[in-house]
Amino acid sequence: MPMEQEIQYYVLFPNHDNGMRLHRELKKKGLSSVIAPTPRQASKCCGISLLIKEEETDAVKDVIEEADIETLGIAQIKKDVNPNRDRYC
Amino acid sequence: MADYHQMWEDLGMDIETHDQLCEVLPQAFGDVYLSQENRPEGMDYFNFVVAEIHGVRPAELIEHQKKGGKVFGTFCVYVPDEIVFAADAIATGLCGGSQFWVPGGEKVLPTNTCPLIKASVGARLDRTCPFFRIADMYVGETTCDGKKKAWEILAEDVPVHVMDLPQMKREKDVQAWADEIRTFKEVVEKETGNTVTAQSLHEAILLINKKRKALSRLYDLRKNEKLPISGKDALLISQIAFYDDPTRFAEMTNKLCDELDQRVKDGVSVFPAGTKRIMLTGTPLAIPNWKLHNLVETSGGAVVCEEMCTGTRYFERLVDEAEGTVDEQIDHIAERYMGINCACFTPNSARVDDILRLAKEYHVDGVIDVNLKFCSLYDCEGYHVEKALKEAGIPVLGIETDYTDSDAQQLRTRISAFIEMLNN
Repeated sequence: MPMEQEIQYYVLFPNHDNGMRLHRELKKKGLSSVIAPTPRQASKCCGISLLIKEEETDAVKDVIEEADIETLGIAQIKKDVNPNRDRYC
Repeated sequence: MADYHQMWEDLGMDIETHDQLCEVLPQAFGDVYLSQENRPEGMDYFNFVVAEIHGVRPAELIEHQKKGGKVFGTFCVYVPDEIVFAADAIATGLCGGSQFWVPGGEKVLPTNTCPLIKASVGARLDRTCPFFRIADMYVGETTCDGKKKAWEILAEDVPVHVMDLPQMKREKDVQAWADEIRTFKEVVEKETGNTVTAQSLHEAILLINKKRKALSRLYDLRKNEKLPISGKDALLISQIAFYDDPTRFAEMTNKLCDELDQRVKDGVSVFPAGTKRIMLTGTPLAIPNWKLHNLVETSGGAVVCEEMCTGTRYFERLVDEAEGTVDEQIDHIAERYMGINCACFTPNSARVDDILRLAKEYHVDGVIDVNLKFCSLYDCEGYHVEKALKEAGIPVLGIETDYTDSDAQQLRTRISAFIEMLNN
Protein backbone atom coordinates (compact mmCIF):
# COMPACT_ATOMS: atom_id res chain seq x y z
CA MET A 1 0.00 0.00 0.00
CA PRO A 2 1.48 3.38 -0.96
CA MET A 3 1.69 5.87 1.89
CA GLU A 4 -1.00 8.51 1.90
CA GLN A 5 0.43 11.75 0.56
CA GLU A 6 0.76 14.63 3.00
CA ILE A 7 -1.55 17.57 2.40
CA GLN A 8 -0.34 21.17 2.60
CA TYR A 9 -2.57 24.12 3.43
CA TYR A 10 -2.11 27.43 1.64
CA VAL A 11 -4.05 30.61 2.46
CA LEU A 12 -4.68 32.55 -0.76
CA PHE A 13 -5.15 36.33 -1.04
CA PRO A 14 -6.47 38.89 -3.50
CA ASN A 15 -3.32 40.99 -2.87
CA HIS A 16 -0.12 40.89 -0.87
CA ASP A 17 -1.26 43.50 1.68
CA ASN A 18 -3.80 41.09 3.12
CA GLY A 19 -1.26 38.28 3.05
CA MET A 20 1.34 40.28 4.95
CA ARG A 21 -1.27 41.45 7.45
CA LEU A 22 -2.30 37.88 8.18
CA HIS A 23 1.34 36.84 8.45
CA ARG A 24 1.87 39.51 11.13
CA GLU A 25 -1.33 38.61 12.99
CA LEU A 26 -0.48 34.91 13.04
CA LYS A 27 2.99 35.65 14.34
CA LYS A 28 1.51 37.72 17.16
CA LYS A 29 -0.68 34.75 18.13
CA GLY A 30 2.20 32.29 17.94
CA LEU A 31 0.73 30.51 14.90
CA SER A 32 3.03 29.25 12.19
CA SER A 33 2.97 30.59 8.62
CA VAL A 34 5.57 30.60 5.87
CA ILE A 35 5.37 33.08 3.01
CA ALA A 36 5.51 31.16 -0.26
CA PRO A 37 4.85 31.73 -3.95
CA THR A 38 1.30 30.61 -4.70
CA PRO A 39 1.40 27.02 -5.98
CA ARG A 40 0.18 26.71 -9.52
CA GLN A 41 -2.32 24.04 -8.54
CA ALA A 42 -4.00 26.60 -6.24
CA SER A 43 -4.16 29.54 -8.59
CA LYS A 44 -2.87 30.82 -11.93
CA CYS A 45 -1.90 34.20 -10.47
CA CYS A 46 1.64 34.99 -9.39
CA GLY A 47 2.12 36.26 -5.86
CA ILE A 48 2.25 35.28 -2.22
CA SER A 49 0.31 32.75 -0.22
CA LEU A 50 0.80 31.55 3.36
CA LEU A 51 1.71 27.96 4.08
CA ILE A 52 0.11 27.01 7.40
CA LYS A 53 0.01 23.89 9.56
CA GLU A 54 -2.90 21.48 9.23
CA GLU A 55 -3.51 21.42 12.99
CA GLU A 56 -3.72 25.21 13.07
CA THR A 57 -6.16 25.77 10.21
CA ASP A 58 -9.12 26.41 12.53
CA ALA A 59 -7.10 28.85 14.62
CA VAL A 60 -5.95 30.59 11.42
CA LYS A 61 -9.55 30.89 10.23
CA ASP A 62 -10.43 32.55 13.55
CA VAL A 63 -7.63 35.08 13.11
CA ILE A 64 -8.75 35.81 9.54
CA GLU A 65 -12.23 36.58 10.82
CA GLU A 66 -11.16 38.53 13.90
CA ALA A 67 -8.70 40.71 11.99
CA ASP A 68 -11.10 41.08 9.04
CA ILE A 69 -8.56 39.94 6.49
CA GLU A 70 -9.65 39.39 2.93
CA THR A 71 -8.62 35.96 1.62
CA LEU A 72 -9.53 33.74 -1.31
CA GLY A 73 -9.82 30.72 0.94
CA ILE A 74 -7.49 27.96 2.04
CA ALA A 75 -6.30 25.60 -0.68
CA GLN A 76 -5.41 22.00 0.14
CA ILE A 77 -2.66 20.65 -2.04
CA LYS A 78 -0.82 17.35 -2.05
CA LYS A 79 2.72 17.98 -0.86
CA ASP A 80 5.10 17.79 -3.80
CA VAL A 81 8.45 19.14 -2.63
CA ASN A 82 11.58 17.37 -3.84
CA PRO A 83 15.02 19.02 -3.55
CA ASN A 84 16.51 16.31 -5.78
CA ARG A 85 14.06 16.85 -8.64
CA ASP A 86 16.56 19.11 -10.41
CA ARG A 87 13.99 21.11 -12.27
CA TYR A 88 15.03 24.71 -11.98
CA CYS A 89 13.56 27.76 -13.63
CA MET B 1 -1.80 36.22 -5.00
CA ALA B 2 -2.13 39.64 -6.42
CA ASP B 3 -3.23 40.14 -9.96
CA TYR B 4 -0.60 42.14 -11.80
CA HIS B 5 -1.96 41.42 -15.26
CA GLN B 6 -3.14 44.98 -15.81
CA MET B 7 0.26 46.38 -14.84
CA TRP B 8 2.06 43.91 -17.11
CA GLU B 9 -0.32 44.72 -19.94
CA ASP B 10 0.30 48.44 -19.46
CA LEU B 11 4.02 47.72 -19.63
CA GLY B 12 3.51 46.08 -23.01
CA MET B 13 4.57 42.66 -21.77
CA ASP B 14 3.85 39.37 -23.50
CA ILE B 15 1.68 38.07 -20.67
CA GLU B 16 1.03 34.66 -22.16
CA THR B 17 4.71 33.82 -22.50
CA HIS B 18 5.56 35.42 -19.15
CA ASP B 19 2.97 33.16 -17.58
CA GLN B 20 5.19 30.17 -18.38
CA LEU B 21 7.72 31.53 -15.89
CA CYS B 22 5.01 32.09 -13.27
CA GLU B 23 4.07 28.46 -13.80
CA VAL B 24 7.46 26.95 -12.98
CA LEU B 25 8.71 29.35 -10.30
CA PRO B 26 6.60 28.09 -7.33
CA GLN B 27 7.68 24.46 -7.76
CA ALA B 28 11.37 25.31 -8.24
CA PHE B 29 11.26 27.61 -5.23
CA GLY B 30 9.49 24.96 -3.18
CA ASP B 31 12.02 22.28 -4.12
CA VAL B 32 15.07 24.44 -3.43
CA TYR B 33 13.92 26.63 -0.54
CA LEU B 34 10.82 25.34 1.19
CA SER B 35 12.32 21.85 1.42
CA GLN B 36 14.84 23.12 3.98
CA GLU B 37 14.49 22.37 7.68
CA ASN B 38 14.84 25.00 10.38
CA ARG B 39 15.09 28.03 8.10
CA PRO B 40 15.47 31.37 9.87
CA GLU B 41 12.14 33.17 10.26
CA GLY B 42 13.71 36.27 8.75
CA MET B 43 13.82 34.49 5.39
CA ASP B 44 10.09 35.11 5.14
CA TYR B 45 10.78 38.61 3.85
CA PHE B 46 12.95 37.22 1.05
CA ASN B 47 10.31 34.57 0.26
CA PHE B 48 7.90 37.45 -0.09
CA VAL B 49 10.19 39.30 -2.52
CA VAL B 50 10.55 36.21 -4.71
CA ALA B 51 6.83 35.43 -4.66
CA GLU B 52 6.09 39.00 -5.77
CA ILE B 53 9.25 39.53 -7.80
CA HIS B 54 7.53 40.77 -10.94
CA GLY B 55 4.84 42.57 -8.97
CA VAL B 56 5.63 44.58 -5.86
CA ARG B 57 9.01 46.09 -6.81
CA PRO B 58 7.98 46.89 -10.41
CA ALA B 59 4.87 48.61 -9.00
CA GLU B 60 7.10 50.72 -6.74
CA LEU B 61 9.31 51.68 -9.67
CA ILE B 62 6.26 52.68 -11.71
CA GLU B 63 5.02 54.78 -8.79
CA HIS B 64 8.43 56.51 -8.70
CA GLN B 65 8.13 57.26 -12.43
CA LYS B 66 4.61 58.65 -11.98
CA LYS B 67 6.13 61.22 -9.62
CA GLY B 68 8.61 62.20 -12.32
CA GLY B 69 11.45 59.92 -11.15
CA LYS B 70 13.68 57.89 -13.46
CA VAL B 71 14.78 54.26 -13.32
CA PHE B 72 18.17 53.03 -14.55
CA GLY B 73 18.59 49.33 -15.34
CA THR B 74 22.08 47.97 -14.69
CA PHE B 75 23.88 44.71 -15.41
CA CYS B 76 27.13 44.82 -13.51
CA VAL B 77 28.66 45.46 -10.09
CA TYR B 78 30.99 48.10 -11.57
CA VAL B 79 28.16 50.53 -12.30
CA PRO B 80 28.06 52.90 -9.30
CA ASP B 81 24.53 53.01 -7.90
CA GLU B 82 25.62 55.99 -5.79
CA ILE B 83 25.44 58.33 -8.80
CA VAL B 84 21.93 57.19 -9.69
CA PHE B 85 20.50 57.52 -6.18
CA ALA B 86 22.25 60.89 -5.72
CA ALA B 87 20.11 62.19 -8.59
CA ASP B 88 16.90 60.99 -6.93
CA ALA B 89 16.66 58.15 -9.42
CA ILE B 90 16.54 54.39 -8.78
CA ALA B 91 19.00 51.79 -10.02
CA THR B 92 17.70 48.26 -10.48
CA GLY B 93 19.03 44.95 -11.64
CA LEU B 94 17.44 43.37 -14.72
CA CYS B 95 16.36 39.82 -15.58
CA GLY B 96 19.02 37.37 -16.74
CA GLY B 97 19.22 34.25 -14.57
CA SER B 98 16.80 31.82 -16.20
CA GLN B 99 16.85 29.47 -19.18
CA PHE B 100 13.33 30.77 -19.84
CA TRP B 101 14.82 33.92 -21.41
CA VAL B 102 17.71 32.28 -23.33
CA PRO B 103 15.94 31.28 -26.59
CA GLY B 104 14.83 34.91 -27.05
CA GLY B 105 18.45 36.00 -26.88
CA GLU B 106 19.55 33.31 -29.31
CA LYS B 107 17.31 34.86 -31.95
CA VAL B 108 19.80 37.70 -32.28
CA LEU B 109 23.00 36.49 -30.61
CA PRO B 110 25.28 33.58 -31.49
CA THR B 111 24.47 30.41 -29.54
CA ASN B 112 28.02 30.40 -28.17
CA THR B 113 27.32 33.52 -26.10
CA CYS B 114 27.11 33.18 -22.33
CA PRO B 115 23.62 32.41 -20.98
CA LEU B 116 23.58 35.55 -18.82
CA ILE B 117 23.85 37.78 -21.88
CA LYS B 118 21.45 35.70 -23.96
CA ALA B 119 18.88 35.67 -21.16
CA SER B 120 19.17 39.42 -20.62
CA VAL B 121 18.67 40.25 -24.29
CA GLY B 122 15.89 37.66 -24.59
CA ALA B 123 14.07 39.08 -21.57
CA ARG B 124 14.02 42.50 -23.24
CA LEU B 125 13.21 41.48 -26.80
CA ASP B 126 10.55 38.92 -25.81
CA ARG B 127 8.91 41.46 -23.45
CA THR B 128 8.83 39.02 -20.54
CA CYS B 129 10.57 41.01 -17.80
CA PRO B 130 8.88 44.01 -16.13
CA PHE B 131 12.22 45.53 -15.04
CA PHE B 132 13.39 45.67 -18.66
CA ARG B 133 10.09 47.30 -19.64
CA ILE B 134 10.21 49.88 -16.85
CA ALA B 135 13.82 51.13 -17.00
CA ASP B 136 14.13 54.51 -18.73
CA MET B 137 17.74 53.82 -19.59
CA TYR B 138 20.08 50.82 -19.42
CA VAL B 139 23.63 51.27 -18.22
CA GLY B 140 26.08 48.87 -19.83
CA GLU B 141 29.81 48.48 -19.39
CA THR B 142 32.76 47.01 -21.28
CA THR B 143 33.40 43.98 -19.07
CA CYS B 144 33.26 41.46 -21.93
CA ASP B 145 32.94 41.25 -25.70
CA GLY B 146 29.51 39.62 -25.68
CA LYS B 147 28.05 42.40 -23.57
CA LYS B 148 29.59 45.11 -25.75
CA LYS B 149 27.74 43.76 -28.77
CA ALA B 150 24.57 43.12 -26.75
CA TRP B 151 24.37 46.83 -25.85
CA GLU B 152 24.30 47.68 -29.56
CA ILE B 153 21.33 45.37 -30.07
CA LEU B 154 19.49 46.66 -27.00
CA ALA B 155 20.19 50.26 -28.03
CA GLU B 156 17.96 49.75 -31.09
CA ASP B 157 15.09 49.51 -28.62
CA VAL B 158 15.95 51.59 -25.53
CA PRO B 159 18.48 54.33 -24.62
CA VAL B 160 21.71 52.67 -23.47
CA HIS B 161 24.69 54.39 -21.87
CA VAL B 162 27.88 52.36 -21.91
CA MET B 163 30.60 52.95 -19.32
CA ASP B 164 34.12 52.25 -20.58
CA LEU B 165 35.72 50.17 -17.83
CA PRO B 166 39.53 50.11 -18.05
CA GLN B 167 41.01 46.62 -18.30
CA MET B 168 44.15 47.28 -16.24
CA LYS B 169 44.60 48.69 -12.75
CA ARG B 170 47.33 51.27 -13.08
CA GLU B 171 46.86 54.67 -11.42
CA LYS B 172 45.90 56.19 -14.78
CA ASP B 173 43.20 53.52 -15.14
CA VAL B 174 41.68 54.44 -11.79
CA GLN B 175 41.66 58.07 -12.91
CA ALA B 176 40.10 57.06 -16.23
CA TRP B 177 37.34 55.26 -14.35
CA ALA B 178 36.76 58.35 -12.18
CA ASP B 179 36.39 60.38 -15.41
CA GLU B 180 33.98 57.78 -16.75
CA ILE B 181 31.92 58.13 -13.56
CA ARG B 182 31.89 61.92 -14.08
CA THR B 183 30.52 61.39 -17.58
CA PHE B 184 27.94 58.99 -16.16
CA LYS B 185 26.93 61.65 -13.63
CA GLU B 186 26.29 64.09 -16.48
CA VAL B 187 24.19 61.50 -18.34
CA VAL B 188 22.15 60.77 -15.20
CA GLU B 189 21.70 64.49 -14.50
CA LYS B 190 20.48 65.08 -18.05
CA GLU B 191 18.07 62.15 -17.95
CA THR B 192 16.62 63.03 -14.54
CA GLY B 193 16.83 66.81 -14.70
CA ASN B 194 18.35 66.66 -11.20
CA THR B 195 21.78 67.80 -10.09
CA VAL B 196 24.10 65.56 -8.13
CA THR B 197 25.33 67.71 -5.26
CA ALA B 198 28.07 67.07 -2.70
CA GLN B 199 25.32 66.53 -0.12
CA SER B 200 23.17 64.18 -2.23
CA LEU B 201 26.22 62.17 -3.28
CA HIS B 202 27.37 61.86 0.31
CA GLU B 203 23.93 60.59 1.33
CA ALA B 204 23.89 58.11 -1.56
CA ILE B 205 27.33 56.80 -0.55
CA LEU B 206 26.04 56.24 3.00
CA LEU B 207 22.91 54.53 1.60
CA ILE B 208 24.76 52.04 -0.59
CA ASN B 209 27.39 51.43 2.09
CA LYS B 210 24.58 50.47 4.48
CA LYS B 211 23.56 47.76 2.04
CA ARG B 212 27.20 46.59 1.79
CA LYS B 213 27.51 46.54 5.58
CA ALA B 214 24.35 44.43 5.93
CA LEU B 215 25.62 41.90 3.38
CA SER B 216 29.03 41.87 5.01
CA ARG B 217 27.38 41.14 8.37
CA LEU B 218 25.43 38.28 6.79
CA TYR B 219 28.56 36.81 5.22
CA ASP B 220 30.54 37.14 8.47
CA LEU B 221 27.93 34.93 10.12
CA ARG B 222 28.75 32.23 7.57
CA LYS B 223 32.30 32.10 8.92
CA ASN B 224 31.01 30.37 12.05
CA GLU B 225 31.68 26.68 12.52
CA LYS B 226 27.96 26.17 13.12
CA LEU B 227 26.20 27.68 10.13
CA PRO B 228 23.07 29.60 11.13
CA ILE B 229 21.90 29.90 7.51
CA SER B 230 22.22 27.81 4.38
CA GLY B 231 24.24 28.87 1.35
CA LYS B 232 21.17 28.89 -0.85
CA ASP B 233 19.37 31.28 1.49
CA ALA B 234 22.42 33.57 1.53
CA LEU B 235 22.54 33.42 -2.28
CA LEU B 236 18.89 34.43 -2.50
CA ILE B 237 19.58 37.48 -0.34
CA SER B 238 22.57 38.45 -2.51
CA GLN B 239 20.45 38.12 -5.62
CA ILE B 240 17.62 40.23 -4.20
CA ALA B 241 20.10 42.97 -3.21
CA PHE B 242 20.26 43.98 -6.87
CA TYR B 243 16.54 44.77 -7.07
CA ASP B 244 15.23 45.79 -3.69
CA ASP B 245 14.92 49.25 -2.20
CA PRO B 246 18.36 49.66 -0.58
CA THR B 247 17.07 51.06 2.73
CA ARG B 248 14.47 48.31 3.17
CA PHE B 249 16.92 45.65 2.04
CA ALA B 250 19.53 46.70 4.62
CA GLU B 251 16.88 46.84 7.34
CA MET B 252 15.49 43.38 6.57
CA THR B 253 18.93 41.82 6.17
CA ASN B 254 20.05 43.28 9.50
CA LYS B 255 16.87 42.00 11.13
CA LEU B 256 17.64 38.53 9.80
CA CYS B 257 21.23 38.87 11.06
CA ASP B 258 19.91 39.66 14.57
CA GLU B 259 18.15 36.30 14.48
CA LEU B 260 21.28 34.61 13.12
CA ASP B 261 23.40 36.17 15.89
CA GLN B 262 21.08 34.51 18.39
CA ARG B 263 21.40 31.20 16.56
CA VAL B 264 25.17 31.45 16.79
CA LYS B 265 24.91 32.13 20.54
CA ASP B 266 22.59 29.13 20.89
CA GLY B 267 24.86 26.93 18.80
CA VAL B 268 22.18 26.33 16.14
CA SER B 269 23.31 25.02 12.76
CA VAL B 270 21.21 24.25 9.70
CA PHE B 271 23.68 21.52 8.69
CA PRO B 272 24.79 18.38 10.55
CA ALA B 273 28.22 18.53 12.17
CA GLY B 274 31.01 17.67 9.76
CA THR B 275 29.22 18.95 6.64
CA LYS B 276 31.93 19.99 4.20
CA ARG B 277 32.33 23.73 3.68
CA ILE B 278 32.37 24.73 0.02
CA MET B 279 33.22 28.07 -1.54
CA LEU B 280 32.00 28.88 -5.04
CA THR B 281 34.12 31.16 -7.20
CA GLY B 282 33.59 32.37 -10.74
CA THR B 283 30.79 33.80 -12.84
CA PRO B 284 27.64 35.38 -11.36
CA LEU B 285 24.48 33.51 -10.36
CA ALA B 286 21.61 35.85 -11.23
CA ILE B 287 18.15 35.16 -9.80
CA PRO B 288 16.59 32.53 -10.16
CA ASN B 289 19.77 30.53 -10.83
CA TRP B 290 19.86 28.29 -7.74
CA LYS B 291 21.10 25.10 -9.41
CA LEU B 292 24.65 24.83 -8.08
CA HIS B 293 23.82 25.77 -4.51
CA ASN B 294 21.03 23.24 -4.46
CA LEU B 295 23.26 20.54 -5.93
CA VAL B 296 26.00 21.18 -3.36
CA GLU B 297 23.63 21.35 -0.43
CA THR B 298 21.79 18.16 -1.38
CA SER B 299 25.09 16.34 -1.91
CA GLY B 300 26.57 16.60 1.57
CA GLY B 301 28.07 20.09 1.34
CA ALA B 302 27.31 23.58 2.59
CA VAL B 303 28.09 26.66 0.51
CA VAL B 304 29.75 29.09 2.93
CA CYS B 305 30.92 31.81 0.55
CA GLU B 306 30.60 33.02 -3.05
CA GLU B 307 33.57 34.83 -4.59
CA MET B 308 31.28 36.12 -7.30
CA CYS B 309 29.49 39.27 -8.45
CA THR B 310 26.47 37.80 -6.63
CA GLY B 311 28.65 37.49 -3.54
CA THR B 312 31.74 39.12 -2.07
CA ARG B 313 32.59 41.24 -5.14
CA TYR B 314 29.33 43.10 -4.64
CA PHE B 315 29.81 44.26 -1.07
CA GLU B 316 33.42 43.95 0.10
CA ARG B 317 35.12 47.28 0.90
CA LEU B 318 33.13 50.46 1.43
CA VAL B 319 33.30 53.74 -0.44
CA ASP B 320 35.16 56.26 1.74
CA GLU B 321 32.43 58.15 3.63
CA ALA B 322 34.46 61.35 4.09
CA GLU B 323 32.51 64.43 3.03
CA GLY B 324 33.99 66.52 0.26
CA THR B 325 33.31 68.01 -3.14
CA VAL B 326 31.50 66.00 -5.79
CA ASP B 327 34.84 65.44 -7.55
CA GLU B 328 36.55 64.19 -4.41
CA GLN B 329 33.70 61.81 -3.68
CA ILE B 330 33.76 60.50 -7.24
CA ASP B 331 37.46 59.73 -6.75
CA HIS B 332 36.53 57.71 -3.65
CA ILE B 333 33.84 55.87 -5.62
CA ALA B 334 36.30 55.09 -8.43
CA GLU B 335 38.86 53.73 -5.96
CA ARG B 336 36.31 51.41 -4.36
CA TYR B 337 34.93 50.06 -7.62
CA MET B 338 38.34 49.58 -9.21
CA GLY B 339 39.15 47.35 -6.24
CA ILE B 340 36.66 44.75 -7.52
CA ASN B 341 38.59 41.92 -9.12
CA CYS B 342 36.80 40.81 -12.30
CA ALA B 343 38.39 38.48 -14.85
CA CYS B 344 38.12 41.25 -17.47
CA PHE B 345 41.28 42.82 -15.98
CA THR B 346 44.83 41.87 -16.82
CA PRO B 347 46.67 40.93 -14.79
CA ASN B 348 44.10 39.91 -12.19
CA SER B 349 46.23 38.28 -9.52
CA ALA B 350 44.34 40.18 -6.80
CA ARG B 351 41.36 37.90 -7.46
CA VAL B 352 43.49 34.86 -6.73
CA ASP B 353 44.62 36.59 -3.52
CA ASP B 354 40.94 37.20 -2.66
CA ILE B 355 40.07 33.54 -3.20
CA LEU B 356 42.91 32.32 -0.98
CA ARG B 357 42.03 34.85 1.72
CA LEU B 358 38.31 33.97 1.63
CA ALA B 359 39.08 30.24 1.74
CA LYS B 360 40.91 30.88 5.00
CA GLU B 361 38.34 33.31 6.48
CA TYR B 362 35.41 30.97 5.79
CA HIS B 363 37.30 27.79 6.84
CA VAL B 364 36.69 26.25 3.45
CA ASP B 365 37.24 22.53 2.84
CA GLY B 366 37.00 22.77 -0.94
CA VAL B 367 36.37 25.24 -3.76
CA ILE B 368 34.20 24.85 -6.84
CA ASP B 369 35.33 27.06 -9.72
CA VAL B 370 32.14 27.77 -11.65
CA ASN B 371 32.08 28.96 -15.21
CA LEU B 372 29.01 29.91 -17.16
CA LYS B 373 29.37 28.33 -20.60
CA PHE B 374 31.11 30.54 -23.18
CA CYS B 375 32.53 32.99 -20.63
CA SER B 376 36.08 32.80 -21.96
CA LEU B 377 37.42 35.35 -19.43
CA TYR B 378 36.59 33.34 -16.31
CA ASP B 379 37.29 30.09 -18.12
CA CYS B 380 40.85 31.17 -19.00
CA GLU B 381 41.43 32.64 -15.55
CA GLY B 382 40.50 29.24 -14.11
CA TYR B 383 44.04 28.16 -14.94
CA HIS B 384 45.57 30.53 -12.38
CA VAL B 385 42.76 30.10 -9.86
CA GLU B 386 42.96 26.32 -9.80
CA LYS B 387 46.77 26.31 -9.85
CA ALA B 388 46.96 28.65 -6.84
CA LEU B 389 44.38 26.62 -4.91
CA LYS B 390 46.24 23.38 -5.57
CA GLU B 391 49.50 24.98 -4.45
CA ALA B 392 47.78 26.11 -1.27
CA GLY B 393 46.56 22.56 -0.68
CA ILE B 394 42.89 23.47 -1.13
CA PRO B 395 40.96 20.91 -3.20
CA VAL B 396 39.24 22.44 -6.22
CA LEU B 397 36.68 21.25 -8.74
CA GLY B 398 36.20 23.11 -12.03
CA ILE B 399 32.68 23.13 -13.43
CA GLU B 400 31.21 24.57 -16.59
CA THR B 401 27.46 24.86 -16.78
CA ASP B 402 24.57 26.92 -18.11
CA TYR B 403 20.95 27.50 -17.10
CA THR B 404 19.54 24.23 -18.44
CA ASP B 405 18.60 21.28 -16.23
CA SER B 406 20.14 18.77 -18.63
CA ASP B 407 23.53 18.57 -16.87
CA ALA B 408 22.12 18.52 -13.32
CA GLN B 409 22.44 14.77 -12.81
CA GLN B 410 25.97 14.70 -14.16
CA LEU B 411 26.92 17.68 -11.97
CA ARG B 412 25.34 16.03 -8.94
CA THR B 413 27.54 12.98 -9.50
CA ARG B 414 30.70 15.06 -9.87
CA ILE B 415 29.91 17.30 -6.88
CA SER B 416 29.01 14.31 -4.69
CA ALA B 417 32.29 12.62 -5.62
CA PHE B 418 34.22 15.83 -4.87
CA ILE B 419 32.60 16.18 -1.45
CA GLU B 420 33.11 12.50 -0.76
CA MET B 421 36.79 12.96 -1.58
CA LEU B 422 36.99 15.80 0.98
CA ASN B 423 35.87 13.33 3.61
CA ASN B 424 38.86 11.06 2.98
